[in-house]
Amino acid sequence: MRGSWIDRNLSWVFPLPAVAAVLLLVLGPILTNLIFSVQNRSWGTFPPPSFAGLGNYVSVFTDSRFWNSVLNMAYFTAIAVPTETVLGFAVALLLNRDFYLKGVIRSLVLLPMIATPVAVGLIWSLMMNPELGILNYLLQVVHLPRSLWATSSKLAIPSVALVDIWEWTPFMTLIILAALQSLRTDQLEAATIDGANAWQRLFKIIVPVIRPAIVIAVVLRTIDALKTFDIIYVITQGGPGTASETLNLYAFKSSFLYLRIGYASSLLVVLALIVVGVAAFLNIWTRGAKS
Amino acid sequence: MPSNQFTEESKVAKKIILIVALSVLLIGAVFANGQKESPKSTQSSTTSTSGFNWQAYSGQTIRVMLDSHPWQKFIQPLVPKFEQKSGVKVQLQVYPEDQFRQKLLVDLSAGSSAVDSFMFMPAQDLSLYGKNGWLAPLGSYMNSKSETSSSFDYNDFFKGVRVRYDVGGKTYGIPLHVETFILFYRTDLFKKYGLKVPETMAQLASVAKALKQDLASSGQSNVFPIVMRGKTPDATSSMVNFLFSWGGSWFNSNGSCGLDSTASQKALAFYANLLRNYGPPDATSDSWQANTQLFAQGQAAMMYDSNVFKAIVSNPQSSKVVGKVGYAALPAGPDGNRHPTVLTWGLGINSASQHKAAAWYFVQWALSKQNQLGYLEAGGPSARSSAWQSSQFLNSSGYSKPWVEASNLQYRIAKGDWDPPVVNVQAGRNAYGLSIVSAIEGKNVNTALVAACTRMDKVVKEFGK
Repeated sequence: MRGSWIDRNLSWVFPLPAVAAVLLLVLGPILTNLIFSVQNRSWGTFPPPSFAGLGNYVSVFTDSRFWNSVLNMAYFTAIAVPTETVLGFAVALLLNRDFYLKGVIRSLVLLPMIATPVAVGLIWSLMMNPELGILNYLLQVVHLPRSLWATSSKLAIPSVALVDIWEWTPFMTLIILAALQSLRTDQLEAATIDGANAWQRLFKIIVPVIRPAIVIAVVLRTIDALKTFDIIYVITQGGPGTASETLNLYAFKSSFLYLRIGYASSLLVVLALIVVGVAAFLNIWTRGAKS
Repeated sequence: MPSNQFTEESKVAKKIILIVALSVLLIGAVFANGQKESPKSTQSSTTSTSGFNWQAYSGQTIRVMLDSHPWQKFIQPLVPKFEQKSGVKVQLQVYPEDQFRQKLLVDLSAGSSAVDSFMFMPAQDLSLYGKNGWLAPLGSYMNSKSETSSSFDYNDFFKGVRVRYDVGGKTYGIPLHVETFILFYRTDLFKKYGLKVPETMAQLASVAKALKQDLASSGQSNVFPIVMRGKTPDATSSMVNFLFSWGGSWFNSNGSCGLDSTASQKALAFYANLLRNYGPPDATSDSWQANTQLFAQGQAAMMYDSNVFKAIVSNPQSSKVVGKVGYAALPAGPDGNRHPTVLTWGLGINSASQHKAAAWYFVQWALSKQNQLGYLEAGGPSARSSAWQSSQFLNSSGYSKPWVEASNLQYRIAKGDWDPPVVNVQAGRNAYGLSIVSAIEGKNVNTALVAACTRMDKVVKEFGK
């Protein structure tokens, strides 16, 4: 019996729907974005779209608000990711042993990660409200001065980073905990017999062995942190002024508030390049350190 | 034998396919049936009559997008009455102001008919929407006796307000209210500390100073002397009244940006100092939502914001200071005159709508004499003169003489350019708003305003005036 047409062409017929979906939903928007980024374009038909060449990109690099947003983005990531890594690692070490209600407590620790960022942002902005929030109340209880939290220019980025840390530390914990559980105990036992103390075992054995997992977690979190939108949008909308405006937020405002779609598209192309660049750098850097 | 096993499995597979196929058919049949049974758009066949008939578009569904706003809170519970009266089903979409504008922008620019009628502000939106052709002209409906109820009476809307919806002789919207920024103050606190209502800007500053001392010495330092908008871009709507009070303007007579003038610097310095010294520490994050909340909770002695927020602070459900609120006009500037501005919100119809006539029925019902009177009684500044003159309003519990007097005083002299007169108003507002934030944060006012003009020039260059 001869195979049907489908049988003969299985190799490309089966992936076809997936390929079509990727083309339509991923490549399409990326291409559109690239095209918009070299156009002067707004919403609707006014002003009529026109070709801008690299004009938008020139404007990007001479725009002080762009540099401000890049610095904010870097500041936010620099606070959030290292803190999440250290905390996540510590929590993973704590959870990586037998204790009463182990399963329940592990699930509870992972809960923040599952919550919707918008809901998380709303709850935290209530808690951080300078007049009515519980955080200032708690500060008062222990006789510390009240804080302005996200409503102050100086504290806006640390405040939103705090929320990011609360939400995403469990992600670090999850990956590192999985790595810890695949750790062989004989090495640790041998080290103990040789007289290594807990700190030595941690930094000479555990960290080097689970290093690939940590690297992956850090790279993923860094990519996400650079692109963070929801938490910041809900809590500060980039304010006060532009004090917590990251590149992603600035692009959003450029498009939806200031009607400059072409310019916003070029901002997003730059953001994509930064994210890819940072991820590649982290990869190469950690690989170099290993050899 | 393996081959036998496979034939058996393929039989099972065939059965599964059969079951799935049958269920798909079954579901399809059920839905097809459902569709058949649902009433076809029951357009009543009364189209031939020349008279007006509320039921003319019965059976249609319209989608109306509203800003989360005192007028929306007033009209929303009444919408079922319209549905009953007209047989038109109304789906309301309500969003907070920022999201409302973004969602509307996306829907309109996509040319989609997803929204039929919506709220908008002519000073902010009419130029852009008009240039893009997003608003349907309403003249053909308003002038048709079969499409407009004889009781609608368009001329009843204040002339100065309704003409703001006209471009090139065509009307693109109907005003739902007319607002102006006035001074709200706590009568009980002013009485307690023996303070007089400020008549000039200098008095406003000295009253705020006195309040700060009095409140602190009586252990009420959690009450702020004054709350005003400090967040960008919202603060521009408030700040512009001070700009005009000092004799400043958006643009100079030669068309160049006027925000870096000496008058403008003095005005911004005054506003920023007032808010920084006597307002909440997080002022640069606050707009009317937070400020009306503070005032209604008794945490502010004065509030400078739109008179529409009487609806919030005089409503026992949202306010703890009912009966203790006084209203006064904007204090006079250094030249001895008051320089208020006036704003209006209205309803428009999407030019891509498939249900324009039904949407027009909604608009004329929502802005009928009766509803505009009800809105005024609830504390909203109606755009109909009949409402303000109605004895029902003058005798109602919602009537407040000081509020009416302060509002009317300002309506008579107010300017309409409370927003920068440019096409891309949001970007123009932000050009100024960022400088207001810097000034409140204590940065150099002059530098901030030079930056405002750099931004404003760009907005004008890209989108025009």
